[in-house]
Amino acid sequence: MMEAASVVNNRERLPSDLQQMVTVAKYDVLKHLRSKRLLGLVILEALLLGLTFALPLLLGVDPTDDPAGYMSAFVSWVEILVIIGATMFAGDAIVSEFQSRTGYLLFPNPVKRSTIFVGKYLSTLGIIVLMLVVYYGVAAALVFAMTGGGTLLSLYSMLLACAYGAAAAALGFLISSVFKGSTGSLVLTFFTLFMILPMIAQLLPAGSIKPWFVLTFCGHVISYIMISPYPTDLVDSISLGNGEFMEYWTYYPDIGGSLAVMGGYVLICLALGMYLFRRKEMVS
Amino acid sequence: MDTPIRVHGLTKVYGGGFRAVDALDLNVPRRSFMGFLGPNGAGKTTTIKIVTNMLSATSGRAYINGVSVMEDPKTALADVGAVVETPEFYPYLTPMETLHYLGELRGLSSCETTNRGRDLLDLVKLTDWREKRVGKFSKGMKQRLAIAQALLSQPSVIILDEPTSGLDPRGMVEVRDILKQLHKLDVTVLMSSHLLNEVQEICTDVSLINRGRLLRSGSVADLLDEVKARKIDVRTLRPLTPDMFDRLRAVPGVKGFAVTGDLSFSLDFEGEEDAQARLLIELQNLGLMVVSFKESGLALESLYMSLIMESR
Ligand SMILES: Nc1ncnc2c1ncn2[C@@H]1O[C@H](COP(=O)(O)OP(=O)(O)OP(=O)(O)O)[C@@H](O)[C@H]1O
Ligand SMILES: [Mg+2]
Repeated sequence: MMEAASVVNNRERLPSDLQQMVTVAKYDVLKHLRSKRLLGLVILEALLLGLTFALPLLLGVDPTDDPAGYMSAFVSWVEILVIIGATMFAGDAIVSEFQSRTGYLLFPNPVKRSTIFVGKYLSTLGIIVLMLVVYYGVAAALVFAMTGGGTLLSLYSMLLACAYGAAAAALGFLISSVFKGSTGSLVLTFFTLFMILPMIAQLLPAGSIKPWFVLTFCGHVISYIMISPYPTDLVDSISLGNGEFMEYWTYYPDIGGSLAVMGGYVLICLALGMYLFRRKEMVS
Repeated sequence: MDTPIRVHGLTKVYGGGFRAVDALDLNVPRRSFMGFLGPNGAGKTTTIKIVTNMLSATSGRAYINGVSVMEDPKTALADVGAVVETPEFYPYLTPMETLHYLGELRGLSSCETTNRGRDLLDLVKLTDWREKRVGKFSKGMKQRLAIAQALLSQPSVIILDEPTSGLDPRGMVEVRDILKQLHKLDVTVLMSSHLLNEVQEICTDVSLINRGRLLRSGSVADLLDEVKARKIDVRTLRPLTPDMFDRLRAVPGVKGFAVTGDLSFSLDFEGEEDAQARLLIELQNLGLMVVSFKESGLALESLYMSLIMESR
């Protein structure tokens, strides 16, 4: 017997995985653009930029005319900005399809779960990059206005921030593939990046271990790159009285290694998250 | 493909060890409208979710148009439209944008989606809401949109889980009319429902499951032939008095009766339509002055009840 005409037609016009990925990403970006979260983030950016710019003026502190030094003040906010951005745009990206039941609409379509996963990740990445470009752009403009100059280091810092954003978002995707509820997933993403990982990075040097593999430690490259020359690990000793000394290390992440670690986070978190997402069942 | 939807030995054991679907076989013949019936918790939604790639089966196979849903869901679902539970929509998209999203995933051109979308939204009476964001839609409106999106790519296989749930009475009639129009097309439908009148009205076939197992499957006409005894409610102007009881019992086809009120009683009746017509004449001859005389309940309902009872 002949197959229904629409079987052939609907199969033949089915887009490739790559095309579908772009479609998913496109509509997910639309979601972010229309969300209150983006508005919140824009307000936060404006606040940070405004404060960093205006506070020294109000306090009557003489602003430096060194562009790199001036830019550093702006860059010091970037790590927290990335963490907030990753939380808001990645922290519940996957779980929300299940919790808000939109999966019932999306999953019966002829689209692979992995396509949906990557498409969503690309859209989150796009929004985080957009957020960083705007922030660095405005900051660089303010620096130029005040000092009449700029520094290429800002660009490097921005690129590193994008890499950090990619890794943090991947971590958020992994966490949001595990959780059953959006709130738990958002909270854990934020606290992992804001407290848990930084705490680990704080504790390890006490045992003379360099926390090179901790994501938030690597994230510090965003700020350190503004310092020239780039800081290197140093050992110090403090007197404990009675003639004894204790050595302690101050570690600085190195740029190449940190980029590699960030890349590792992206790959591992995405692979694991995608595996979990493909197996996740649409119940409730 | 003579059976666009084919399920073989399907079993689903949920996390807690609960066997929701148990070695289920289901064959939906081409161009049939299969009513998927069963009590609450029978495993209908679970089966439908497996067939639409939302749950993984513990064991067994499901094929759509000959392609395994487990092995190649993308191809298997290429020609399927589905409404499962009442889905939620992306609140930031309008109905038209939602259709464009889904259309683009299926490779429809933007122009085609716009045209078809306009017709479909008209069909489900959402035209006035076409450009409003779905966020504030009521449950029934979302259900209408769900039905519209399922028909978007003109699929030959349509899978619906309680499609009229949440709709107002007029909405139900409208959706049923839409479904009935599908009979004219080369379309195969699997539809779960608790509304037996709906099933009897639009389905050509039914499959009845309980506790994850198939109890009965076949064409509606064949199954109804099995139900011989019918219940007939009678209302009269004169009361049915004890002296008439014997004469009533003697009427051909009457298996029994129960007095349900001063001027009403119900009959268990077995026989063809001409026998039923003669029954009415007999009743009038008794001098009861019959006001109304109608079959109560639905034949399908009696069948459903008896099969479910047997399976306990
Ligand atoms: N996620 C789950 N975990 C454990 N058991 C589940 C889960 N989902 C469903 N069940 C159980 O599986 C059985 C079948 O559920 P299912 O939703 O398939 O029934 P149904 O036939 O669709 O019922 P209804 O007519 O009420 O919609 C029920 O007993 C239910 O309790
Ligand atoms: Mg159900």
